[in-house]
Amino acid sequence: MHSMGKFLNRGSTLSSDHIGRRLLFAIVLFSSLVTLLATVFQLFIDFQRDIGQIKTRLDDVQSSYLASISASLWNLDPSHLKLQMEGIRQLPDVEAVAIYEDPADIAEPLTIVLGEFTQQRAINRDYAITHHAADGERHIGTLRVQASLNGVYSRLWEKLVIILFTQGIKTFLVSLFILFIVYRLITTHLVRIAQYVNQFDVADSPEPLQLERRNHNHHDELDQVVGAFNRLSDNLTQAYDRMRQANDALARDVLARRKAEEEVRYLNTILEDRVKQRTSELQAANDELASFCYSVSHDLRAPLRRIEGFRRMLEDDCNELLPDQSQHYLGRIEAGTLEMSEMIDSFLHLSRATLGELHREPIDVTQQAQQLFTVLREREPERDICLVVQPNLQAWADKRFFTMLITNLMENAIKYTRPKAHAQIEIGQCLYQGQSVFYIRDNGAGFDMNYAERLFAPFSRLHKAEEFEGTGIGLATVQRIISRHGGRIWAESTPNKGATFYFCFKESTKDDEQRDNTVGRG
Amino acid sequence: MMSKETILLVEDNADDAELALLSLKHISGDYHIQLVTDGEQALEYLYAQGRYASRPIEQKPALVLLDINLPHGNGLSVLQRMRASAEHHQTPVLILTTSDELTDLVQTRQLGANSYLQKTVDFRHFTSRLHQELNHWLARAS
Repeated sequence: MHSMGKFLNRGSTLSSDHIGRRLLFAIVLFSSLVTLLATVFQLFIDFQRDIGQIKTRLDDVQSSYLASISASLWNLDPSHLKLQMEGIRQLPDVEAVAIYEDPADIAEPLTIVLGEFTQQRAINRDYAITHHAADGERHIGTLRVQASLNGVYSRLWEKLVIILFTQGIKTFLVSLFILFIVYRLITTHLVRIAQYVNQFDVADSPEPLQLERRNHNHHDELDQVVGAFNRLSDNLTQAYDRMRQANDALARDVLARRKAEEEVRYLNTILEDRVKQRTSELQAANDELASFCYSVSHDLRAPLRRIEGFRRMLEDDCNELLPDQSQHYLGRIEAGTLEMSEMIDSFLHLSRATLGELHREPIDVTQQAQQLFTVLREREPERDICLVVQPNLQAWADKRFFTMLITNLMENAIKYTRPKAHAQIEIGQCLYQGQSVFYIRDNGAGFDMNYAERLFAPFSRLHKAEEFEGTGIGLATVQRIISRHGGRIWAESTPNKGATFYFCFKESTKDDEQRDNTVGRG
Repeated sequence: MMSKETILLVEDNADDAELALLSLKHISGDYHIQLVTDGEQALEYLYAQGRYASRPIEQKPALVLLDINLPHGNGLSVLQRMRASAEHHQTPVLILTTSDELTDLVQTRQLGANSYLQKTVDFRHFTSRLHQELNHWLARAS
């Protein structure tokens, strides 16, 4: 009963419940149809039976009354006739009775009518009234009996009403019952399943779905649904767990990576700051050094000039008075001061190589080398010097510094090939350990490779000053220029067979090399 | 004018001044060499002020030999003052310096120096350059 109450309370749910409504509609429709057909059939049977009864009754009239009516009519006994006709009229459904005397040979034929004859809903039967005389049968009149069908119809109508009423109630009750059963067996569980699925959260590791079913010990379709859903839920939970584990691992990874990145960024910042600081310190130191060099060079020049100036005066004024030895001393003083003056000049050149901004541009190395060679060659026109330059050499460097560099290297080559009758200088580009580098090669004095490291140090000389003049600043300047470009310079040599200087303006990465190559081809 | 034309030598260092005077000893033409040792004195001489107030201002020096590094106002400010005034707008000025920096050269040119003479260590070279320059500018002025 409790369930029934709950079911009834859920009227509103049912009204919106599609299954219930459709089921109810189908049941009522089908049941009504069946009831209607059965009723029609039953009514038809009843109608036929009633009609049959009336006909039987009318048949009985012939056997029960006709003989006596015939006698009465023959005798012309109207009262008796009326009595008999009343008797007939008492029969069920008989509404009217009439006797018409045969008018054939009678002036005033007798007519007696009881009740009213109607044209509708009636069965009329005429009986011939005969008289058995000696000369045979003689037709003396007609008996007409009318049975009304009103009774039949009203009985049918009552039946119809009763049947429809009872069938209606029955249909309603049965439908209600079926609905209740459907609700108990299916709908309530479907609603439960729907609620469960709605609240289903795979992250919650949910309890398995279970239906509230009492006295339930057989396996039906709902159990199959529940089983399938629980398996699905299990699979989902497992899949979710796996995903969450993977996610956790990923999150840990990401966290670790982010931490590492932050650390790297932090270290980078520190490093950047430090680099900035060092760079500015270095810049300051560099600037200071450059201005120091500048002023030292100038300040050194002034007293040197005085020494030379007054020595010159001394020489001019009293050279003839001095002994040869003293004249020789004066000569040595002059040589010393001029040498020192040259050194100061070189020193200034070296310091200039560190000063000033670097403005890189594409340089036609071939053309530059040839032009400079023409100028340098004029200093020693009597010598046989030949320059071979590869065509279309291109560099990416500061033009001013490049000129300084190539001048120094060429002067060097010209100087150290002096012992050779035929001096040859080559300038070109080649691959060295996968990197494109320039080279300048001569067939001069060369140097001992054991001292190669000292080659580029300022004021260092690998040859005696008597053999080759110079201050030892040229190659230091060259190296300063190359390192300002971020490049590298080194030399290879065999004594008396010449030397080769290799250099590049930038230690190239792949990209640079590509660009250099592009410039080189252009 | 009966009095000799003057060459004004502005040089603070006594040795350098002596060497300059020695170089100037053999120049052609008869010139009075006036030596001053700082920028302030140079300006006083040029404009006949202070200790040179009694000097007749219309007797302009034929040429000024100007050292750049001077106490009491360096050579360049003396040059600037000269070029800004009507009196010495045209007076030839030769800059004397130990520097061979291109920037110094360009700067003195821009300020209106007529020439630039490096005080080289090779004294003979310096003397011959100085004579060349003096011949050039003094011949033009006269």
